Amino acid sequence: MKRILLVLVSILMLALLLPACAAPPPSEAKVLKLGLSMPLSGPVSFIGLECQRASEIAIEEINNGGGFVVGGERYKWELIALDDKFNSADALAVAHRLIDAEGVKYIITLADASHLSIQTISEPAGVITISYPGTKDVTTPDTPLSFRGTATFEVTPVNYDWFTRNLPEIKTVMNVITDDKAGEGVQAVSTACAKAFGIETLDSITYSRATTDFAPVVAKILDADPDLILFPGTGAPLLIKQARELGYTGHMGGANYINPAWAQQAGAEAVEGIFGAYSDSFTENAPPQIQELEAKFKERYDVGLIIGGMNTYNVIYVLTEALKKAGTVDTGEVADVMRTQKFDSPFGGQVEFGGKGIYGIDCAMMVPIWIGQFKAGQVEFQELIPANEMTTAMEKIMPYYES
Amino acid sequence: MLPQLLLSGLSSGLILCLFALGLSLAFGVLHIVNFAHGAFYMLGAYGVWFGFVRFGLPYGVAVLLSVILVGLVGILCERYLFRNFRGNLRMGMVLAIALMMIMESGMVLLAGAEDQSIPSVFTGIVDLPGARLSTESMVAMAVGAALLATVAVFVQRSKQGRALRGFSQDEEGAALQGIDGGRVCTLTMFLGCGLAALAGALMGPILILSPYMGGQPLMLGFAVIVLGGMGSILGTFVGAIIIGMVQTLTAYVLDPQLAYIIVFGILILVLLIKPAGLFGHA
Repeated sequence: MKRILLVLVSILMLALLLPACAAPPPSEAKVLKLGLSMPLSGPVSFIGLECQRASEIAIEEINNGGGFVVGGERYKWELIALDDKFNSADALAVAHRLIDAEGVKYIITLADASHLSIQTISEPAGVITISYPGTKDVTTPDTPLSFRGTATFEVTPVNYDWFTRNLPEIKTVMNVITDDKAGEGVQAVSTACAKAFGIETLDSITYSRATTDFAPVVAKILDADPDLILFPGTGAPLLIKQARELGYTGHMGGANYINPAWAQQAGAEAVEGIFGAYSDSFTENAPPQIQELEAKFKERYDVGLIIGGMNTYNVIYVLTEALKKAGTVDTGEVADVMRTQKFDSPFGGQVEFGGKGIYGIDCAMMVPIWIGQFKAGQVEFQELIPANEMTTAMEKIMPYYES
Repeated sequence: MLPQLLLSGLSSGLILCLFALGLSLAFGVLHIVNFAHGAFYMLGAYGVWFGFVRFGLPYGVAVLLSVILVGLVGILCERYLFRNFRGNLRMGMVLAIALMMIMESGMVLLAGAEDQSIPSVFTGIVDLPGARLSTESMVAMAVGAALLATVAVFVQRSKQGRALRGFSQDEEGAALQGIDGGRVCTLTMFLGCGLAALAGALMGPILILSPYMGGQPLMLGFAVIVLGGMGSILGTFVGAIIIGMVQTLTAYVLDPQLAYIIVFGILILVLLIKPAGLFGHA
């Protein structure tokens, strides 16, 4: 009996001790948390959800590829996506949760309201934030850890360059802009562009983002009879439709980006000839990696990329590159690297952060821009402006730019 | 340019009248401040989108079905929700706001948050002396005007219309006359919500659809019924035309943002001078 007991105890002790003697498992990658503060519910949730999904795909690809090495340590991303409902109060609550509770050091958010709100705690906490704002307020020398994930104001000179070469009959322009800071920003850049490219600005008309009746605005346009009207995305389908209905026959263009969905919303006939920058994920001119992203989206979610997803996917890859080049996860040093170096991008080629002339600090990612024009209800590719030419276009207009 | 602006003002005024009439009926007869009225307008527009765009029904059928279905939803809301708070203005308002939130969020779940559009059915432009309007808008104006006239005749001349007016003036007196209050409430809500839905259905191909598209007409609708006089059909018509015109002309002559200041400034003036509105009774 004693012997049996002894054998049993020995076996038990062996069972407990053996795992401890086994070779230690290979060290797992460290986790780096990426916060996403996006509208996941409400009127613009279709943008927020697209950004979230694109982020998930980017992170999946990076992590499945073995993660990334920073300063000799292997890391993988962990995404924490929270709903900020596209308003500043909820964005602040999200920021507290991400920064204070989760220890996040990198946050991507959508636009001005959320970014400005998040900045109040992210900058003091040493957190890098990236968004796609429509105003200049978000990125200033006082907010060195805040960045812009894509070109916005920088796109307007590129549009001007394109139409002055391809539509030389355009001599006069009218800006139709929103009555807020984003609109002011567009007006300032467009006015500078007009001077730089020898186009006469007849006037700038403002409208509220909630406008549904553009008849008074179109009446002013018809009075002035410009060769071209430039407008932002907000309210564009209604403006286009009503302008054509009321008899405006001149050229139309996006002050920055155009949206392929306008053809369905305003009608193929109304949008014919409208030009501007667009995010190409769906033609053979799109970068191969972006075409693959588009295919994945369609397979998983039954819908292609609409807006925001492509840029967020690119931002995550560029941020990963910046971390690798910095050799540290210290956000101050990563931010310095972001401002001073170039990075391989899923958009093809390399991108860099510029925009010092407008923002006082290099903070806007200069990405390739596709110029398109609506033909028979589809956006037809016209020209690709490489990322390095974005800076050149901006430098041309800076002597005329008044903020 | 003036004829164009007047025509645009008239067009937006007529549709606003169609919308506001339902609001006026709800308040005048049922004593409900129906903050969910904009949501019924939105449901009307989306009803046409679902019927015409998603399920391929003929446009006219989609509009008719949308109006009837939204009217029925209105009846259910009145019968099982608002009726519990008859006479309690505050609770009625809270209930209406809750309904509005539920309908808007529900539509986001059903149709998605991104904007939708209904292709134009009546394409082309109608050219008039000094002005032009899309055929779509002309049709919306014509249908709107015809419905308004029909509703006006119904309320003034028909037996049910007289019952409706009697009930709004004195519920107890109406009951003594044998008027079924429950039926009047049901009819009023069906009419009110149906009119909102029709306004939404007519504007659907003209505007861009969003689950939150009812907010702006709701604010203007309240301005119309306060200006014109709550419960007055003529007042609603006049108020809507005034507001439509003021908005369009101000936006052109001065600034689009000033249009709202002037419209609501006029509203405040009327409230101070004649609280019952232009055609309302104290």
